[in-house]
Amino acid sequence: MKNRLTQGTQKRMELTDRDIYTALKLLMDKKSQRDKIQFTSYQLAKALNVQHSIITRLLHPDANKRVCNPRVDTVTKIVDFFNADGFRVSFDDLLNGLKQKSAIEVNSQPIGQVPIEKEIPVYTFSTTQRKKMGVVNMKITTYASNLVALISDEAIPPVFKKGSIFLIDKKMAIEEGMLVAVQLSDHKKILIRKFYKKGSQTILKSCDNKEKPIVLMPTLQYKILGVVVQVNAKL
Amino acid sequence: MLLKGLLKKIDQWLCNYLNIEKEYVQPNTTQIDQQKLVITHTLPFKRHGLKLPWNQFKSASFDHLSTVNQKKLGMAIGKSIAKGLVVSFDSLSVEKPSHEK
Repeated sequence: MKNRLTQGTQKRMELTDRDIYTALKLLMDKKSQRDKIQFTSYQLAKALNVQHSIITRLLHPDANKRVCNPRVDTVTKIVDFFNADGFRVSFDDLLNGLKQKSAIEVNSQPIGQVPIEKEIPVYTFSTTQRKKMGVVNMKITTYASNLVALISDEAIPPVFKKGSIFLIDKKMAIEEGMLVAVQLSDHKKILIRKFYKKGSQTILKSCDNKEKPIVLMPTLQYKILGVVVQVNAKL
Repeated sequence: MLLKGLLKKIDQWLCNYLNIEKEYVQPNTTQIDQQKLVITHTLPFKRHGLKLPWNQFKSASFDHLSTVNQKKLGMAIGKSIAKGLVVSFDSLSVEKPSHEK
């Protein structure tokens, strides 16, 4: 009922706002440079015969206030306008950069599997003091038996606060894109990194862009403890 | 404002009559954008979807979600971060092993 009331009759595009925002901003800048006069959002709205608010919402500097689902006819008008003005731009060009699978739909997630509660030993992230802190009764959706939990004593990006519990499967086969717990000889703490393969090189990337990726060289002493299969995030 | 209130009442009445579980906030997608987790969600009678960083969504809306939607959100967040990852939000505490109790 709610959806029927909120959905318009026009088909809406599922876009990330960065794509249309970036592309439209670029087109307008290019036009301003070419014509040697500032081309404004008001002028664009007038040329497209749409409300000015539609264009300002597409180009809003604040990402939270930006419209991320413009109507198909609005996008079509933008493409037609810039093509008529001498720019070669297609529908796909305007959407270029859209990573179609990067947004994960919440509603389509399957929760059919009944979780089982298991007592799992908990350790700290310290590599020097491998003391068992106790156990945690955790609801898990995996039937793996070789599980161990690590409790973080600091925030781990992108969302995990101090006190979050990382469940490690020590036997799971590691695949590209998985989070792994790795112990490096020159680090006092176990690291949580994303596993990648680039040719013959194994690269571990942090979710924090400030940290440099680690390339696992033969000379580097390391041990991958296992795959992070579940995180109980501290709220 | 009056119309908004009236529409809200009608929606409430119809949802109760049809036995539809009503939630104020409906999370739609999760995405990692510039190393930050972003949640898009909708509100009743709002035309456009809203996009919020995870911390803001969590403090404003997470507690209003049903248990089912919290679980689905956790699964979606896990998938956004890494392959095969599930995120849960249970209240857990570290205890002594059962054989030591």
